[in-house]
Amino acid sequence: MKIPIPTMSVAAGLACLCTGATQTVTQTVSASVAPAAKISVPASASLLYNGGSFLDFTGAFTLSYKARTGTSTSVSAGMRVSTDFTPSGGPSAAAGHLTYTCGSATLGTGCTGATTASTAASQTVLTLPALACTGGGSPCSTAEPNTVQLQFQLRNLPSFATGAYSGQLLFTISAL
Amino acid sequence: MRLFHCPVLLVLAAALPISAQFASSGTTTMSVTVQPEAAIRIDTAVTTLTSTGTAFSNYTGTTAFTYKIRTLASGGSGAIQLQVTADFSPANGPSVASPPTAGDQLTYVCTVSAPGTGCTGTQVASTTVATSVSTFGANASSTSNGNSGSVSWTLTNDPAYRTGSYTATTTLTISAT
Repeated sequence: MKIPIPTMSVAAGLACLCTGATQTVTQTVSASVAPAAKISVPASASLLYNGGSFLDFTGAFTLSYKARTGTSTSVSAGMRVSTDFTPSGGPSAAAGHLTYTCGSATLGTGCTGATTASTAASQTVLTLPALACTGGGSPCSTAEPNTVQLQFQLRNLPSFATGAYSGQLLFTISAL
Repeated sequence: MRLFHCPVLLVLAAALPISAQFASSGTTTMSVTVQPEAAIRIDTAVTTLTSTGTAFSNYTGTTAFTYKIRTLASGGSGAIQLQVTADFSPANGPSVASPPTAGDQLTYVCTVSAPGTGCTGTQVASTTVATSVSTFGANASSTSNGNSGSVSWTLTNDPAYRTGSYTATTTLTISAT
């Protein structure tokens, strides 16, 4: 995604070197502040074993983001299982074994309810309204960066072969 | 295992301000380790042993259970074992550890669905050692809802038992490697 870069143009008059006189010069400074949003997720996360009764594996991590949205557009961040768990014989997101929920977002709204993660389509985990911005306090958020915690739950089926498995989650934030 | 949960989360949170890279997209590698595991549920909360038919016919009853298991693909194994963890009480009735007459026994036979293999023949229950109910081989896995099994009991009906109601507790234990 191409992010517009804020630009600044300056028209400045020459400084007057005359002595014994005062001269006023005018300079115009303008900046075009474009909507922007970026996210950050940890490179890795582990799902943990919860005891010997085939309880589901669970884990959580924080999605961090910084955003400045426009006057009329909302922005959403999505997640997709870009690489299903490997090797085969264990859990599979395509088989519906991975679900997630969202905690409270410090800016915008996290997903609601438990959602089954998808390998096919990106699913919204965060929605930012128009005129939202990160950091500095009112009218922007106090928090910087903003965060939302994602909690994951993976089925623990007896049919899973023992071993280590890993998959990848791809997070994206929509174009502004 | 939960002891490892909090420290991991703290590390992630502490690392964010330093290592976080903000971009229009990001990738997280999610990992999990699937281990050997086993669980059992007793479906017959109270098994009542009854004597029917001819006088002094032995007391019989059945305890049903459901198990879940996953063993290592290579070299793994599993077992369900049984032990009398509380002998019959009150006194002057049947007893596993100290029967009033030598030869009085609490015995059982096993019925266990695959992948389990039920115990062979008639087993004698004990208060001192765990005895076999089922064994499992490598790469064994039950269904998601669990597989069924049962223990059918036989208790000697000794005329020496004083009349009354007697209760014992047996414990089934399942393990997997």
